[in-house]
Amino acid sequence: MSVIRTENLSYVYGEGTPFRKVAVDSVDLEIGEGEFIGVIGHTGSGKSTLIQHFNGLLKPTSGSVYIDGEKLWEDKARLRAIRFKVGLVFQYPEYQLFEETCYKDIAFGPRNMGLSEEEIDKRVRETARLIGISDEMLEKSPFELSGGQKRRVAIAGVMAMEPKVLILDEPASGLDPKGRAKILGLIREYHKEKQNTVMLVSHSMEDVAKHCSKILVMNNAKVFCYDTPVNVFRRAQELESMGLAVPQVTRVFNRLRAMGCPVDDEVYTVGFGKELIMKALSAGRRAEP
Amino acid sequence: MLKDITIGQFFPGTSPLHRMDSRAKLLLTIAFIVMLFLAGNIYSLCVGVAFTFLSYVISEIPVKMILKSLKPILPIIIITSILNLFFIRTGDVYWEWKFLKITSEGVNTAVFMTVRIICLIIGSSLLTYTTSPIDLTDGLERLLSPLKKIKVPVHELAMMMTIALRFIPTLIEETDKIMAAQKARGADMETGSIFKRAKALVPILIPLFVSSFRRAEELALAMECRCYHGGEGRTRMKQLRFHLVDLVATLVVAAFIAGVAVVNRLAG
Repeated sequence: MSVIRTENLSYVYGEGTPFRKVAVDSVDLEIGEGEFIGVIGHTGSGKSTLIQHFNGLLKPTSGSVYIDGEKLWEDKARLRAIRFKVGLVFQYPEYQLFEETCYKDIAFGPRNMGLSEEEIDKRVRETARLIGISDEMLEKSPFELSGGQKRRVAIAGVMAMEPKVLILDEPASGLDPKGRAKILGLIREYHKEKQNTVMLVSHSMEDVAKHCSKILVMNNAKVFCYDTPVNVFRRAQELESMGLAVPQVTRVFNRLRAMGCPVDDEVYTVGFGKELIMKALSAGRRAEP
Repeated sequence: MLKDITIGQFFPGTSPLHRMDSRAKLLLTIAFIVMLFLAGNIYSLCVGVAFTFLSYVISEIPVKMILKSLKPILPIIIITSILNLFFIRTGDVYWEWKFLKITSEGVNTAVFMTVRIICLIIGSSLLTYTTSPIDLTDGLERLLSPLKKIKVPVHELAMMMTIALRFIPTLIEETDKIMAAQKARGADMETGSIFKRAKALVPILIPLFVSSFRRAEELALAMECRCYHGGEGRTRMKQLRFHLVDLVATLVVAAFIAGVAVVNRLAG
């Protein structure tokens, strides 16, 4: 069963003013349980607006959103309960930290859910372990931490609510390559352990290609395609024409193929590319003498 | 929701009023207020009304915006006219019921005051509609610059005003974002007692304060990097200059004030 479904979902900013802008245009989507989905699109393509509909922060101008089969906005009182099902981590989530200690901040979400103290404690500690926050750090003020650590605490704050769907908007933006790799690795770890649905909004094709089982490409407020990475990256030319690049390694292999090398056309991670090259090299060496 | 708040209600345009120098506009607005208060009877007030109408037509501001500016002072208008209507007891009696009495003079004064307040608001909102906040603070700074002689930090005050105006939309946007983030974590701001709701503001206010301080620090650093050292010897990219339109406007205002005085004399 699909955990998120949208029907003809549209959202218009500033209706009735000269600044009217269609941010999401009749989107039909179905997102299955347990998937790891990458959402890609250039700035202003409507990805952030789209994901804010999934936990009822924005009300669709027309169309509807179903979470777990339940229609959103049918009953406003149910919205809060639905927000606990769909966890949304915003861009630069460290700006939302406010408690005296990291522990309390991570516990904010679970406490709002009305869980018992033991359950809250269990969840905070488990999430902290999962995302690499030490016990010592838990007792510190979030404002004493480094940027990457703050980011992890903020993400943990949403993860601790154990949502069925975890949506992260550019969780790695503004971090150095090491911090990026760490955050994305931890998110993948979380997905593996919990088997929940994860949606990752990103600008980087590399990140998405590396982690996701499916990719959703947004362009001009519409869904351009929603498919497996292989099928998406096959349309390299179309992607490039809308200002999105396929992963660099895919471009290298596409170029190689254009030059007449009989290489695989489904290379989109550096690891796989390396493997192929190594294989080709050792085969060449064997063929030489 | 928060985005609906407008501060500094500038309405861009190219009318003569928009092109006027902000200093001239500020001074003429004061002159306009004097004009309205000079008007001692209905007839001379009509001259003031005519001037207000003229400026409205010239400004090319839609009537919807004018009505919007009147909305907040509607209660004041209603209260003053009711007070005038019932508490002035001289003149011919039109209507009487127990201790309530409406007299001709009461009606006259009520209408007079209402018209005067409405003109006052329309005139001064035309100033803010046709002048961008930055121009306005610039003009204020120049007009108040003589006060520097008595050690009033005019430039610093104007700079503070400019910065505050510049950052209001930014902070509103920031508040919106933080609110959405905390709502996503299940923060409940819409239900509960007042005390509970006030407490629910903590998760929004703390991050907002933190980020304001961060922004202030960044801005201070950026200003220092560009060698900002206060108003001393500072030149401007946009020089304020008086043009023909300012002269014409001044003459028109002077003519209307004279008109009010003359009508006052004739009717009085």
